Amino acid sequence: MSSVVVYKGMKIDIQASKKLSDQNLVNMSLKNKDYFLLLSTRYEAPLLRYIRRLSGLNHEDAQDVLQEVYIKTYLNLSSYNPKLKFSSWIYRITHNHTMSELRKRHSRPINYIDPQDLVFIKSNSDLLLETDNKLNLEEVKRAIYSLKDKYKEVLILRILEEKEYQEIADILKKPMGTVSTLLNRAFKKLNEIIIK
Amino acid sequence: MSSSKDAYKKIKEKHLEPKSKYSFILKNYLFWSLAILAIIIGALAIAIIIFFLYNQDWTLYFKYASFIQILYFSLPYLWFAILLILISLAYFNFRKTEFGYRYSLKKLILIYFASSIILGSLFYSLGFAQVLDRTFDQKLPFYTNLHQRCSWFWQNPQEGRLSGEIIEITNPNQFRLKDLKDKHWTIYDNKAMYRNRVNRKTGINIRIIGEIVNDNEFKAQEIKAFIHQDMPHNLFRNKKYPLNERNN
Repeated sequence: MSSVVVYKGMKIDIQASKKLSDQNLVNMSLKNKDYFLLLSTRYEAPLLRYIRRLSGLNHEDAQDVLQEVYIKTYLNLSSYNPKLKFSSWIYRITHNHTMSELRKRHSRPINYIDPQDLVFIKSNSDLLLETDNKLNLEEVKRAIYSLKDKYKEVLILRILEEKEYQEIADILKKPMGTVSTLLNRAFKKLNEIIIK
Repeated sequence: MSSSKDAYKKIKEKHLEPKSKYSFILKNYLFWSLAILAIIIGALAIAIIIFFLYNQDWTLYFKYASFIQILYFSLPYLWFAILLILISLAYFNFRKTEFGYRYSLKKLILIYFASSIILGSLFYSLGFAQVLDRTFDQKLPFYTNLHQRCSWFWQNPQEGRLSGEIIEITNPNQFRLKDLKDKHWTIYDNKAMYRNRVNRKTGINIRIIGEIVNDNEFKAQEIKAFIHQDMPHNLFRNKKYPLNERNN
């Protein structure tokens, strides 16, 4: 499969762009907007998956949300501070925009976990359960989505997005201690639901 | 088409450009400035709270007044309320700074109090609290200054407590005093003990312990300045609160 994307005559080598750091691409995008395409392409799959996990929107709607996220990211690109991981920054924008989109649509997040998520859950099952019960992935999936948003958000970021505590804190703009407490409570509640 | 290409297309078509980085820097500085301002004003509030607490006669209060009276009359609730509002403002503004979210509420309140208390003690020792209390009293009609706040205790000649301003030194044995309700008294002070290096001259505010002779005469046993003078807040000392010994 070719790694070259052609758009309006501009040839973009995705493989070659992988060698550039996010910070480099941000700096280059500020001078030439074409480079922003490379940066956004890099995050296309994970962010689309994150939007769907967070909101349960269908693929097309999630794509629309992501497109708005990219425009917002581009407009605010000069506010990016390299002290923060770029991925945390763009995840934060995505998180906030998705949640505000859900509020606009007056809809609550719908249960959504793609088959790949079950693999993630399985690989993180030691994080999830301290019981001897055999892990039923479907139950775990249902349990995660039955939790309050504040618990569900941290669990999605920790288990499915495999983010570190500091990254979760930066994405949700919460102190690390709060994230840690939320995660502990979320795991506890998840265990309670599954044991029931 | 993918979202990134759609977004790129829109950015190109609408000629969108990133917002200036200075607008973000300015916004960040604005939140920092507001947070620091809230700390400085909070420090002034703390200076006034120290001023109020330090200049109360706690020993006498606990001897003659009930706990409810002490609680109700002697604590500067307005300043506590102002301090609470300022803590919220400082917290809100600091959280809005770029990495402010990394600090917990507990940590921020601790930092706020530590910096406000240090700065507030400095302001108090420089005399800012006294000046502010007097200025607010003159400018704000609803404001209760230290003297008025103490009146519940010190405006009680029947029980041997009186306070007010010396308006005339009649002779070495007596002077005229205007109390907190503007009533004029003749004070006999020939046997009185002067405390706090109080200056016996017109214009100063004093507290007197003694006994009532008749409706407008009072025999003083002990006379103290209204403001404790043993703190080094000399910077804004004026004629109203001198440090000299009795000079008459």
